Amino acid sequence: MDSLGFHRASSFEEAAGLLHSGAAVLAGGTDLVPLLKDGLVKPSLLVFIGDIPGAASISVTRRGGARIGAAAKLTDIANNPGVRRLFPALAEACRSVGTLQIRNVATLGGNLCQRPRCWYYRSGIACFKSGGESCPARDGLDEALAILGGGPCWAVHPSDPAVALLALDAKITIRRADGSVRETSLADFYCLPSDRLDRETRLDAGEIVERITVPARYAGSPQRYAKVTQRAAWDFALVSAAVVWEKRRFRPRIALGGVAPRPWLLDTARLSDPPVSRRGRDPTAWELWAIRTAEQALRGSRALSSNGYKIELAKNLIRRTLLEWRRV
Amino acid sequence: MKLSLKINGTAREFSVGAETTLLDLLREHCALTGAKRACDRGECGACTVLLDQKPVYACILPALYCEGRSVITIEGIAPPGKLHPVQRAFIESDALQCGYCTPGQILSAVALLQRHRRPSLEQISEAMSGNLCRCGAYPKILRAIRRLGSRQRRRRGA
Ligand SMILES: Cc1cc2nc3c(=O)[nH]c(=O)nc-3n(C[C@H](O)[C@H](O)[C@H](O)COP(=O)(O)OP(=O)(O)OC[C@H]3O[C@@H](n4cnc5c(N)ncnc54)[C@H](O)[C@@H]3O)c2cc1C
Ligand code: SF4
Ligand code: FES
Ligand code: FES
Repeated sequence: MDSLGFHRASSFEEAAGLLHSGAAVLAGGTDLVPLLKDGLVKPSLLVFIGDIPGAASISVTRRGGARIGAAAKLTDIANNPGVRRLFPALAEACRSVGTLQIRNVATLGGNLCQRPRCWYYRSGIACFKSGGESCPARDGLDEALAILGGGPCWAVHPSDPAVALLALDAKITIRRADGSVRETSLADFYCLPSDRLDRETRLDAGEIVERITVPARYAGSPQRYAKVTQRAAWDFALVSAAVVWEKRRFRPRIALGGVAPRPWLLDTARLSDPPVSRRGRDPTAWELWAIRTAEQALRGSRALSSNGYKIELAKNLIRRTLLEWRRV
Repeated sequence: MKLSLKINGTAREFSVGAETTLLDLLREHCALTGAKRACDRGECGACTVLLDQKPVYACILPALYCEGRSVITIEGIAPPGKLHPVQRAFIESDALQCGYCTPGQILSAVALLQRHRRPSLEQISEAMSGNLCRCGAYPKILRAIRRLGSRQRRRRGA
């Protein structure tokens, strides 16, 4: 680690150009530094993006949606008046991350690109994620593992903000090594272990997240982020859910966290329409619909030996969150 | 690599590597040992210091991140030989046992009381939940902060 280099980038273009093999992006370092200390990543160069002018900017308007620089800190997003007013699910998700000390340093880009928290992987035990040939967690302590989309690695994606951003249909702007820019939806940004095992995103070598954009379509629409943890603070989600209502068609977009190797968007087409009539909402019909929706949402989930509780937890969380809109 | 920053109000210059954390810098290069190394991985709060007035974990922060910024450690919150009001409140409320978590607890409390003169219970728990205390002095830590909050209120005649 002695020869680890450090470069303070002055633009995303410059930073992307430096991302040859062996270089790693450094934003807040709250994930990267522990990974370095544990020898789980061994870069030769850190490309620091925190001092790039404008990289931490947050701009929010009702008509324009939100534009958030990759190096914006979670504290600043959670406290931003525009984000709180128009995209409260995102503000809540950012506020739910770790502790104040983490949120004061952790950036949104780093949060979306953080590595899985599987205890086996983090302890340096050989597994698929670290280039090994098996998944010891699958046959061992599996209570934190995925109930959807797992295999051959079953580690869940740890990000809270990603779940809210997925329900909000956010877009990611990516800068490439040759200086060009591409945009992708958050849904296409993440992949499953069956697609690739070396990382959880579809970022290619030499690519860097520059900006996250939340479309204006959901600005100010009813929305929530709810997170269930083992302890009240400083914990990753056992299960979390973001619910964002489409204003025109009045249907929910629901994303789940803690259940799959990527933030998990439910297919709205598979869910029944909510029971709204001209005369308003019938609380009983609404409750029955919420129960049905929760069942539909978890269809296809599969328990390993001791993570089945997550299925019930996710159903209850969806039902409970939807019940908040039982009355108009 | 060259690094210039302010530590406890004094401009300093160092030459450090990319792997050096702010905690390494403070403890090994500056002989400021008030920030403690306990978990060394962002999971306990013993290394909490203020970076541009905000609490951060020094053990997972690269020192080079702090270029041009200002760091305050427990040694720097009051003039030599004097105690900061939060330190006094911790003593009066007996808000410590072994004391290992205390510098970090105090810095989190100092930052909280700068943001909110009269913090609510919710604001206190949000601000303080990033500092673990293995001795379980939480009730008295809470009492120290609440007393300070109400004292600040009285002083301002509210
Ligand atoms: C004690 C603790 C508790 C936590 N609890 C939670 C929690 O409850 N919920 C949650 O969501 N997270 C939690 N986290 C994770 C934390 O939110 C992340 O570590 C943090 O958001 C990462 O951001 P960073 O800026 O520090 O990234 P870094 O550590 O600098 O980077 C993280 C990774 O992303 C890459 N990267 C960074 N920025 C970019 C970019 N712009 N483009 C491409 N790649 C990039 C880096 O190379 C690295 O691999 C916790 C972390 C700790 C230590
Ligand atoms: S779940 Fe994934 S990260 Fe954990 S041991 Fe299995 S392969 Fe490794
Ligand atoms: S020593 Fe830094 S958080 Fe524990
Ligand atoms: S007083 Fe001992 S850890 Fe807090």
